[in-house]
Amino acid sequence: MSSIVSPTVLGAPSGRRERRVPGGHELANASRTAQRRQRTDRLATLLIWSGAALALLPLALIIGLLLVRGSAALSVAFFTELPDLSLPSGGGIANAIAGSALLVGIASLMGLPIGIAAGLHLATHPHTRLSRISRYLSDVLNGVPSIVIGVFAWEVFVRPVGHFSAWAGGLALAVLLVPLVARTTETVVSLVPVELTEAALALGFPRWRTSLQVVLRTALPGIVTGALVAVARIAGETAPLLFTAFGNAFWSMSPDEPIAALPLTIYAYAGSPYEGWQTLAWGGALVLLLLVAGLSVVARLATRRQLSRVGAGR
Amino acid sequence: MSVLVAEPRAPGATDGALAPAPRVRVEQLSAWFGSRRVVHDVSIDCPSGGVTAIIGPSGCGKSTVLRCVNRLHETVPGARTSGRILLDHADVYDERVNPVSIRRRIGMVFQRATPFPHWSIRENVLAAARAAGGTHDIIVEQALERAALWREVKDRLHHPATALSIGQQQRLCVARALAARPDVLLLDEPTAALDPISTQRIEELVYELRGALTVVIVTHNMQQAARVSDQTVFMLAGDVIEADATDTLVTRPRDPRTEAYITGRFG
Ligand SMILES: Nc1ncnc2c1ncn2[C@@H]1O[C@H](COP(=O)(O)OP(=O)(O)OP(=O)(O)O)[C@@H](O)[C@H]1O
Ligand SMILES: [Mg+2]
Repeated sequence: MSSIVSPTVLGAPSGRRERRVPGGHELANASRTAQRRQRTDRLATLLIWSGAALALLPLALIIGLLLVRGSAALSVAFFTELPDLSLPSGGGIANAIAGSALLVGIASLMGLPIGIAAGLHLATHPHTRLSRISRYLSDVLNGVPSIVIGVFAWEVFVRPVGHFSAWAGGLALAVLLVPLVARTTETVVSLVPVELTEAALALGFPRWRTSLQVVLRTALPGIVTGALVAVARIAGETAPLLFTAFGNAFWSMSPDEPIAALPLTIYAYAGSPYEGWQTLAWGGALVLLLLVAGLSVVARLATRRQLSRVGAGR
Repeated sequence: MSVLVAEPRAPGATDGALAPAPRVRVEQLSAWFGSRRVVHDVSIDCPSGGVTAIIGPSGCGKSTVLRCVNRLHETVPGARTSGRILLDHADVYDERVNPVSIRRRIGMVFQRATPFPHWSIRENVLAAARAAGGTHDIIVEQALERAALWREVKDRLHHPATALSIGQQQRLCVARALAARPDVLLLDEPTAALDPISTQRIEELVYELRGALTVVIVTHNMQQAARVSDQTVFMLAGDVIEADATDTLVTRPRDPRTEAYITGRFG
């Protein structure tokens, strides 16, 4: 068969080949095979393309809709004022933007160090009992619906003190953040070749120095990316905040009081009967989307800067 | 096993190390990965300041023996050892001994180059450097010079180590090990990734180091063993089959298995 499908071989009048020139029906067979393969190839390409398009369609629709409906809400007042029904626009959501920043800040300060440390431990001591247990718990925690985390946070952070607060909201988000960050950190740290660790140990580096200066430093770009993606993920969470941060129609930057947050504002205003507030919800959703997208972009840039720094020299 | 006395050191070959290099004695060493014993009661005597080559087919336990000397073997989960390894009279495996302090005295270069990727060339050399009166600049230059890398990198010491070719990275690792001023040097197939010129330079370095350092080198290359070592140890499946002065072992092996290996290599 192989000599038949290759037309150049056929064309070349080398003595040995000539005697094997195939009959007409064999040639027809060959070209039919080639045609069939081409058709299959085109079909497969088409299927792959349409699959990709179908997958991207909802994303494009969401972004388009948010841009159209949300941008109508955007104005200076939107970013500087509080919600106000006496105005036709409904006012602004300055309190929710600031509140979200505070909540995510608290969660990051609490959650990132713990999550990164846990991930480093999981990667450097993968087989200890502690590691097995915490890896399993992280996976379970990552799969728990976030409303459950909210109920838990209410029981632990709200009920004992008797009132809702930004602390409680931030801690609830931190509970979500820790297992996410721990697992991504573990993954990127365990990608660091064991030879590097051994080289450091062979130089007489103590364990802690090996972990920090060699392993952590080598894995840093991946850890930063993982942390930013995880922060972006919790920034959009609503359920854990319902019974913890609770929401606040007024300006507050006190971590000890109930506080507004973008997802809560969207949740509350989208279902309200007032058109002004519905517009605010659209605007809030757009801002949230931009914030999350912005974090992802920062994550990418941070990784790339790290890489190019390696390329350009320090 | 015959104990070989090192040649008197060439003048200028040492870097003025204070104490003489220790004699390294491996006594009845066994090593396990989990329940699998890969080194069986091995004894090797490496004279002070001498160069000992370990040869043998792949998987016979050469690297494992080397990694026992600086207690790197035990860092692999499930790995353990029995027996003694003496640096002069101090047992490396004495329970009062901190492995970190042992590893500071013993330099090691691995088969695969292992520079720290986010460190510059200079930082890599200085990673474990011990100053001996010189400034960092001098340490860096001397170490790179001895590893035959200085001329190629002297204008880009602040570039990342990973910007070097693999062969250059390996020589950087040699420089990094030397800058720590060890008194024992373990080389695990150090020239496996090097071109003939760098290989020759490393071999010359090993030759220069004799007297100042006790060197143990694992190699698959019989000619290399013949060129750089005073004594050679032939291992097979975790056992030492034969150990002798390199000239003798290479030309008149006593054990037929040694002969088969050597002639196989040469033929
Ligand atoms: N990390 C490990 N876990 C389990 N077994 C191992 C490990 N490293 C090596 N071994 C086994 O130990 C034995 C000795 O390995 P070692 O690396 O010492 O051989 P070697 O003589 O250095 O071989 P080579 O010339 O290929 O480097 C081999 O059978 C190998 O399969
Ligand atoms: Mg080996």
